[in-house]
Amino acid sequence: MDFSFSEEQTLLKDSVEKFVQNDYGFDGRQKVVRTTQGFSSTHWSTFAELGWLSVPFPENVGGFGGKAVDMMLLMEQLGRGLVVEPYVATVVLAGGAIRVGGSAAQQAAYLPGIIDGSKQAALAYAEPQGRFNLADLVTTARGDANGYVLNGLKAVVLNGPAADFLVVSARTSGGQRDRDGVSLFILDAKAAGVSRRDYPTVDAFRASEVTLKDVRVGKDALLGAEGKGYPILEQVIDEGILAVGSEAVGCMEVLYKNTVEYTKTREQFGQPIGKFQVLQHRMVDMFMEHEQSKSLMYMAAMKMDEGYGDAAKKAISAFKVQVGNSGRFVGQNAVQLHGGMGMTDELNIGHYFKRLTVIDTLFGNIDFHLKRFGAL
Amino acid sequence: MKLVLDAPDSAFEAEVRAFVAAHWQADAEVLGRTDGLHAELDAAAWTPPLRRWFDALVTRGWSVPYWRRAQGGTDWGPVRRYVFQRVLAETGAPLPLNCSTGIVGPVLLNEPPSADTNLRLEQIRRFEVRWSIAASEPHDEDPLAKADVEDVSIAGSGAPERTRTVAVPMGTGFRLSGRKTWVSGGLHADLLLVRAEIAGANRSGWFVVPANAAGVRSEAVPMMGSSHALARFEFVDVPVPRRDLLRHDPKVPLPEPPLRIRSSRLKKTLDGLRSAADASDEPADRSAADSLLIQVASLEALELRQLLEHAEIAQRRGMASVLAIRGAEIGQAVAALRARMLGYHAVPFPDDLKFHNEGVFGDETALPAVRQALFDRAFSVYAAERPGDATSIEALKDRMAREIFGF
Repeated sequence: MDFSFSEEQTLLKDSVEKFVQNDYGFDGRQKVVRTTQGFSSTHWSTFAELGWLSVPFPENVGGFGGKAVDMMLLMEQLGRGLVVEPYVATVVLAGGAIRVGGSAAQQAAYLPGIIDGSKQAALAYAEPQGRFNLADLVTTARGDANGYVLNGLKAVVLNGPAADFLVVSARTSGGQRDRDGVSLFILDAKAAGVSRRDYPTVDAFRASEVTLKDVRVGKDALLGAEGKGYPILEQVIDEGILAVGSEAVGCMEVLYKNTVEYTKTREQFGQPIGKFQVLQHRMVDMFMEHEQSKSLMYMAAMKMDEGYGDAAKKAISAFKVQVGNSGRFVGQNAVQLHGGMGMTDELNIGHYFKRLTVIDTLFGNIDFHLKRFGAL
Repeated sequence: MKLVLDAPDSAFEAEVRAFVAAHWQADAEVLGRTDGLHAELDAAAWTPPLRRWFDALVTRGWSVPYWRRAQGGTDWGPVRRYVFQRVLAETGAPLPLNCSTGIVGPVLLNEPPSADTNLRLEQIRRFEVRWSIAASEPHDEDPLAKADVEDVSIAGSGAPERTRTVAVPMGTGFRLSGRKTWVSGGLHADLLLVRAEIAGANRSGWFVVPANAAGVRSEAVPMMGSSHALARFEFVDVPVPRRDLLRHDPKVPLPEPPLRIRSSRLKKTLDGLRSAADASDEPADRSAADSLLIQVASLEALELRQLLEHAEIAQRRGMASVLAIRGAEIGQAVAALRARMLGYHAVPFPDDLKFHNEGVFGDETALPAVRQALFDRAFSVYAAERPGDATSIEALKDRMAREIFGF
């Protein structure tokens, strides 16, 4: 039992922290999110140079060989900077699916491009009717002698506009909500029959609706065994929860600290509003929510590193519930204590609040994960 | 970063489990359901099942595990301290951590060696005496003391009202007079650590006063949950020898005892409630229990961080307050859910002695559950950071705002 970080982990954390402090100002971020692409290719190259894009991948494909705790530390710092580059979509989700379920050939074919920053990717797992059920699929993959033909509509494909390739879930057998019969495929984002409708999200990220119409792929596009893609998907989504949850913890830290500083300088009735006890207690509550979330973040990461099973799944769902509740509390109160200015786009407060709001929904909201926690 | 225990610590866990299995009787488990009721645990320490348990701890050398080995303790590191508490919580065995072992003992350990001090330490180590701390006064600025009813005086005691407790030098010692309130466990205490102003010295001091000394009067302050351990005291010309004025500087806070792990006991309670909710097919209860299990998981993680993380001192202080506040709030919520799930069984309250021969009214688990729920209401008003200590949640938040935010 040990709660200390290794030297490598401390170096990784410090590296991201330094970048966020020195090179990722709020004004610069706002310029980037207004561009068509919505993120900075220059920053992405920096991520590659600093080795961050390699963190979760095995060393035999050029990765860092990192664990959940490494990812947690990195994402917490990215959350503090409100970093909009598609790290989760490309590295954690799409890259994660290939890392968890891909053959050696698939890993060798796709992961180096992610690691060196030359390729963007997306995981197309959600469907309009499915809510948060990963197995609820009407997209089909019909097998034939040459491979598979995919048809369907995938919703909220994070980083869809920039993706060079997609990892897509589709049903190869079974009923609409059966876990058995879910298969995963890697396909070129520009393959014949793939079309997109791109849009910005509430938190200024980019996503797409992706329509698959008679998209033909070879047998080598299948990720893992046919019909056995659900466990891969579930693990990758849980790793995604750890990533965005850690990001949320970083967001909450910035929000409560910025709120404290703001209330020390904003004056009303002839004194800083931070002198009012009712506001001090509200900020203490924000601090406590952040600490509770951070504590469950540690537990979830350590459980994941012990091995992916029911204990890890339960810890992840507990973390997601806590982050949902705490993120809402901290975000709403940060806006409230900043007064009218907190409602504007000119301060960073509202942008952190919007990111926390989206994170609450991503990969299953509080209600979904409370139910999952109880069922495990 | 890892959660699993190393092999030596796993072996230690097995050793503690075997010890508990050999020495803790399940029929006395009800006495272990006193999470938060430290004073009552002290009172119960003299009942046969607990006496046997504490005797076993003394024999094994685990009665004061948080003291140094040379002082009769163990020299355990934080992981073993945590494991010890966790096993005891999971098995329902009472933790040997109270006002005597957690606060008074460490104070005495820092006093100059003397026959009196050595005897008192040995009595604490062997669970032969119970101590309480008499610090708060009715007119203190301490918000907790202010909670006492103004101007309450014990009938016929003759103690002056609105007077601070004062020790007047006289002959070879002092004469101590005054009033104290909110003395946790005071009704069952053998010895008191009393804070008093020293007349003519412009300072105060901590005095050792036997609870049955001439001139000492006490009465119970009844609590909502029918706890009878809380007391107020009045002292009228109580003689105190000079050697019983401790060296400990009253300006220096009393020692902070080791962290009391609350999450394990709360989790055990919640697991039971979760099973009951499943059996009764009550989705609302199930959902409430699951929500609280997540809260308790966060409490456990906070406790582990407090024990094992190497953080800055100020941050650790903040974390102690977070644990006190959240621990109290979550404990209250668990106790309230437990009472709520009893339905109508939570209404009878046959707690008076005259009902003791009447048998059970309804559910035999109901009365302890209701008492706990009522007590935890008070406990969350005054969130103890340590046994024998208490501070209101509001005061803790004030302190956090000062120490963490710099307000």
